[in-house]
Amino acid sequence: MTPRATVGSHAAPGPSTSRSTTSSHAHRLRLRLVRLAALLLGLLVCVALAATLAIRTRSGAPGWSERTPAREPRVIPRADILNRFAGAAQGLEREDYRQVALHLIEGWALYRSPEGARAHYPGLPSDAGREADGLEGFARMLPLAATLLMRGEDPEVAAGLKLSQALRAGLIAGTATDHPARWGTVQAYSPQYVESADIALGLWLARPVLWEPLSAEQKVRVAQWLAGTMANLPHDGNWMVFPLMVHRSLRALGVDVSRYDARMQTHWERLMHLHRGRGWFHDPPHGFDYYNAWSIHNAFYWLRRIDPGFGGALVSEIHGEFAGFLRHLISPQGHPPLGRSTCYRMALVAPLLAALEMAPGALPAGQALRALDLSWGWFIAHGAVQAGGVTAGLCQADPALQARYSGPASCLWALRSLTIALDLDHRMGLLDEPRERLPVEREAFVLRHAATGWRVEGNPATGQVWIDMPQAQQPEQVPRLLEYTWTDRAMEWLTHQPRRPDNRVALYRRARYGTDDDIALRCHRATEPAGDRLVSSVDR
Amino acid sequence: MLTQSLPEVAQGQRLWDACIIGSGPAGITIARRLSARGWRVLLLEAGQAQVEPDLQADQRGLVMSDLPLDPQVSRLRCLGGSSNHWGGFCQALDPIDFEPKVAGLPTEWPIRASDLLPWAHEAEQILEIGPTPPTQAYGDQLRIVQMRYSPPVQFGQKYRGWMERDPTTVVVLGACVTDLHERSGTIRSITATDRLGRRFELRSRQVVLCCGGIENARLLLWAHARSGGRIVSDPTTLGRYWCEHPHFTLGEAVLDGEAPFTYDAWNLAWLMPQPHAIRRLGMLNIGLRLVRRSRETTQQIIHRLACSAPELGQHLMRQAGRRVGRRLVCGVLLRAAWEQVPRPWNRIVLSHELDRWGVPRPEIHWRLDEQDRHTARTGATLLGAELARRGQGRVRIDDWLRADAGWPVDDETVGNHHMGGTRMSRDPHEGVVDPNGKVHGLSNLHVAGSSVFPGCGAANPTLTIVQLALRLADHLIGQHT
Repeated sequence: MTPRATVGSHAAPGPSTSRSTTSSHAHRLRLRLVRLAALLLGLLVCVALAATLAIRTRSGAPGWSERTPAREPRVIPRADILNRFAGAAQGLEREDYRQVALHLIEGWALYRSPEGARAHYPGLPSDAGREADGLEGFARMLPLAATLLMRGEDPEVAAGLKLSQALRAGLIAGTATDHPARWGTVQAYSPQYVESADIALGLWLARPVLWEPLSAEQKVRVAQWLAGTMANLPHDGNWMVFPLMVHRSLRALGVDVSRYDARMQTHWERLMHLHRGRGWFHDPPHGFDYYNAWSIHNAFYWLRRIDPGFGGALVSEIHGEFAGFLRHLISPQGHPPLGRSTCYRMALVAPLLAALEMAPGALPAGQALRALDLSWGWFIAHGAVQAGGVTAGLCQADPALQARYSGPASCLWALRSLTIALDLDHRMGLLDEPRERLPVEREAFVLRHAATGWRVEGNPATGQVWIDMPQAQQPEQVPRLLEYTWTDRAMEWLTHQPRRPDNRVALYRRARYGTDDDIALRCHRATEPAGDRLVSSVDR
Repeated sequence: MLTQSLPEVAQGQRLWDACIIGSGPAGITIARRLSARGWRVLLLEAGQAQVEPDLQADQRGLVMSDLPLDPQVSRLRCLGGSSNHWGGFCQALDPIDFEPKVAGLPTEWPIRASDLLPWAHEAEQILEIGPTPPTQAYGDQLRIVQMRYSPPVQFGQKYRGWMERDPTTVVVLGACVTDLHERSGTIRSITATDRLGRRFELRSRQVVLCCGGIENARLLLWAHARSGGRIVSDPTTLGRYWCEHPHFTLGEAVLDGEAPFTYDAWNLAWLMPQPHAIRRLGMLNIGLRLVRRSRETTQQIIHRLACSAPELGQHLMRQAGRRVGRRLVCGVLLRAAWEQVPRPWNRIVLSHELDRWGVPRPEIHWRLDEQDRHTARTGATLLGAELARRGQGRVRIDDWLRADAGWPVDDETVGNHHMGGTRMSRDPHEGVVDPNGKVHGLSNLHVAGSSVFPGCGAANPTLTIVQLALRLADHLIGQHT
């Protein structure tokens, strides 16, 4: 054993050295591997950073990072508005609507771009980019502003600058071919295409202060810019009213648009082809939604105002039928939210007001006004008007309900009922009319609507309204409303493009929508504390 | 006689038996038929013997469409008209194309397929094609059909000798008709303008418009407007119900060697729906074209199928691995041309832009709609279902067609088949010409060509154009004997 031990003892350094050498080699190998891994990791991080930068600089929505901080109007503070509209159930007055309009104009002035061609509201941008969003901020406020101007209100929107001057400056800058703030040409399916309709309407409405003071050259430029809408194609559906609005407005302003007459007739015929009866138009590929109210029937009102013969008896008839049905959907708790662009919510009642002139007898004026009061009261109490603008959601701002093509000013379409109300009031003293209860406040009802296939049910005890959609594909399942998640937020941060949940299935394919479903109940999360408090104070 | 001298022809105020405006397949066919019966025929062609760029530029028009459609490219202004660049595809309309198909869709003709049969053989001879080949059922819903191919016959070339020699026919090149003059329900004269802009009045007992699927409507719209509304008794439909044959790739397929399709010289196999399937499914007629692909492309198609249906894809890949070598699995592109529903708002109107002679250029309003999508999707689905049922292959329908996405603008999109605009009807309120091609309310103005089609079927139109032209010529002859 000894020799072996000796041998072993003598021999020990050998293996020991060998182990030590092996260990040292292994250590070096490990070190090398760690270095290699670190290098690879570093490279990976660099590539990821480069890719992030590339994605963000190349593929994002233009102006994504430029956000406007929210501000609150001070001359007419929001608390005043909340206070006024908290008493909507008891009936609102002319001054309430005038005040909210002025409050919103004051908000517009806060976000107006220096040259006046845009208004950059706070909120999540659209995929069209900041410039297009800013154009919406100008165009979608214009009809309301024009109505106020025609009522003799021309508030100061900046030191020494009246509203009318600011709007004219914006029109001139936006339509100039060489101005840095120009809106860009109107092309088929472009954001400019949509906005041109409101711009044309605003021009016509306030023509003595917006159109007539323009120089001949400026008029030509404005008309040429608007003509892009008539020269290009709209999508099928509610887009078809945009070129019609531009055409009739320009013609009424004395511009020769006869070369587009045949095209307008074609648009009109195609639109009427989508009519499925009783004023309801199919909006392909979505189906029936409230664009019928806040886009198509709203446009009918203005087209008829501009061109009293527009659409003839047919339009009067279907408008009356539409309004007669629509009033059943309005309740003291809003309306059953469905379809795209839920944030236009207050505009749903626009056709009810329009019907008072377009289809006399379709509904009592008191009901139309009651619908206006309740709609504005409900949604303002739940956060619809904030930071001088209209929030992008059913109540508060809600990215789950904001389409990727919607920007922070898109929801100013919600003002369309207010614009019609003020226009009618200016001409007919409408807002003085006594209010009458809506169908859901009177008695329980069940309506079957042949054109849409909808079954509408109202309960006066609870004030709830429901719409059953028999054509829904999965009546036993309720497609869930998808939320805007941190993943969406992260992807937006990474790509600089909106990534909003695609909620078309939940908004179009459910078997039932109601004023108390999970979509509507999102409003209850958003009740304005000030509003509630103020309700109490008014009651006291 | 073939001449370029309009002044010479206009001299002496000669009264022609027939003045035919346009020298395409319809115009030449009618002229030959009438002259064979001894009629003194004046055939006016706005172009020259060959295409000349400045004259061709007169074919320009405005287009209001979201799909590419270029009237300057698709039409030729020269002797023989657009037959100078057609592909020679010939197919007769199906009997169902003349009958009502889907309630509410105005595709019915006032005549039936049998009304054209007497002229089928002669039209086939003119176009140098064989008789109608038999069809073969492919399941309950589809049938396999065969396309017939003309060489293609170029009418200007084929009949040039006849034009030069025929003693009773005068063919005038560079004679552009710019107006029609009506008195007491009869076209008394027409105005033709020569290349130098000189205008001449020409008189004829019968006048036949054969200017093509856009120009027929354009000339009538212009003459109607110039005459203060005296040309067409009810202009409601004039220029309207204009159609094209939409041409799109609908998807792709892999076919087992058992699939009973035979591919023609163009590497195409053809299928169409059965009449009862058209009626049952509310679709219009559609020609499905299977375009055979290479072995490499077949593998790619299988891989794409594997993405949407993994198990199926694996199965096909195994099968393809065994059989592609023997070319028993075949990849095909699924293309289609279908019958567009005639809509009144798809139409020709007069634009505010004038051509060199002061005639407004045409403005074409043309769009596809949900019925087109339905026809295309249903056609592709029928094929997919039948292939799957028989275990003979699988179809992958393209995303744009499955989802409700926009039409792919980078596809072929149109067949350059311009139909409608002066549609045929019994009732003057529903069309421009009667079942014989005579303009409602006028005694001697006729229209020939695809502009009279009230519905357009899925068949390439030239064969039907020639049949209708022969029928109209015989009708004119019959009137005067």
